[in-house]
Amino acid sequence: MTSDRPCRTIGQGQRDRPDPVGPIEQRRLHEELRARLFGRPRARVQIAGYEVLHPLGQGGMGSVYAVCRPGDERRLALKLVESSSPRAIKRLRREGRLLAALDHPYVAKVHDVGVCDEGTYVVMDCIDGTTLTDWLATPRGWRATLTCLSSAIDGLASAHRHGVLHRDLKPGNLRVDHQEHAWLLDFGLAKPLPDSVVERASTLRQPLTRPGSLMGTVGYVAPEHLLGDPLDARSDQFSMCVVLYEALFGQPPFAGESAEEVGLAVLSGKVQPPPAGHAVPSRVTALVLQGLRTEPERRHASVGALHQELATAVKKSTGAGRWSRWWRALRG
Amino acid sequence: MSREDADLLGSWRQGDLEAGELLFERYYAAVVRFFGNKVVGDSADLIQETFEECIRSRDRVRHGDDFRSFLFGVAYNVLRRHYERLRRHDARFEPSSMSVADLCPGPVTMVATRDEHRLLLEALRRIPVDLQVVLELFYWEDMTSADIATALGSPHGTIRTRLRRARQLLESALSKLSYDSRLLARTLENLDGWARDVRKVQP
Repeated sequence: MTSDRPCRTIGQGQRDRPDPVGPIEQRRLHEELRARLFGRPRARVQIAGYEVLHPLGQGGMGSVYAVCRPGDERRLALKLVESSSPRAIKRLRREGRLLAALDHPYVAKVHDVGVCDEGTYVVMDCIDGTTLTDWLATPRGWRATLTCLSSAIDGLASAHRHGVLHRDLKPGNLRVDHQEHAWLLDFGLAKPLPDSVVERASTLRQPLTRPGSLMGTVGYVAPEHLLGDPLDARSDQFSMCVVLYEALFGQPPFAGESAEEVGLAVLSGKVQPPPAGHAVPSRVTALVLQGLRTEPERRHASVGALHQELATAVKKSTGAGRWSRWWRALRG
Repeated sequence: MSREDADLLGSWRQGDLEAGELLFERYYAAVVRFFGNKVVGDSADLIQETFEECIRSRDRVRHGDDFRSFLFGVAYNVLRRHYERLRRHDARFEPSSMSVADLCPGPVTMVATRDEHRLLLEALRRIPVDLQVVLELFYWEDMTSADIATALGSPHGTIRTRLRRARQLLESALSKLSYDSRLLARTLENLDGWARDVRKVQP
């Protein structure tokens, strides 16, 4: 691991493994090769009646495929947990139910959840575009970055209003579409907010993470998460601000040579100073740093409030605003 | 050579695509298995390259030659080229001294339902590649030393020597890897049985 990427997943060993050629992928490859080598019409591999187009990736919980309904061109993303572990299946079903309750233009919508021969699956919107990590590989100005992330921050605020926590926010779980709007994905670790309507109304109260195991990604999770304390919307706010800091300054707020060192920096609230000569307005920097406070009560009141404040800061610092103020001052 | 393979190959050469497709279906899983324990991550490209190469060069199979040996010969060349590419900025790939564990370290990704399987798959990756190849063809594809000699284009005697040497090195790799003496004893006691068993649990 290099020191400039302080993310390490704990409790999700599968993520560090290379993708094995799983049975679905093998069937798909088999069909595709046969079609190509012998000029056959391509018989698409199906999962639960959805045609598999190609793999999208391997997550901590299972594989994700681009799929479509037979006769329908629209691409969807199908997440499949091949394991028959009741814990994994429970988590996936919960993710499906929680996401189905959300309706936000920039939160990937769930269309279907079920069990099939290959395992348990969730079908959701497939967001064409790139991961935030890839989008940020090209240098972006602070304003473009905030504009892009604004939709996902609003999506997170909306999830919180519905009583749902994300719990694993990081650039890999944000996708940027072709219109440069960030989408919130992978509520794989999602959990109802304490005392929320969702929690009271459902049987999802019991924690699904095995006792003693930490799910989430060090460097992005809040100090209270590292300490195993109860999480709330402010923990997601912290993670979102880590993403914001990294996106704005091109460096992580908490640095270290190892996951342990990064964890220590998070616990002690030791944020790296932003690089010299950056162009981010001090108002924006202050808002992000407030969300990174060690004590949850010193962060913003809500992600919705943070979203509002950032929007105001962007508006105030636009060139047009400065010029019009200067013009008004000139004219007395 | 099974009559059927020869017939199918003959028909395929004369333009019968269906015959070619039957051969493809018959050996697809074996090719997947061939790359399974030798490549870390996705072997899709290598599987495809093997069959494409087979189509291109199928006319070179001499009358009376075994199609299966021809296919594994092609697969071995594709694998060698893959390792050469991996080592492009480094020294040359040397199959008689380098193991998969040296070339592309990583965890076993083939299916292992028992500890004995896992231990065996791991140990196979720690012996030189040319020995791993002969052992896997011997155990998993039920090929005789003569078939393997045809596949790899080596003298029969050489393959017999390699098989003996491969078994010795496999046993010593197993001993080095296992920290559980009972597991090791169980594995060594029925090495042939476990080695053949690994194949059965593959999808």
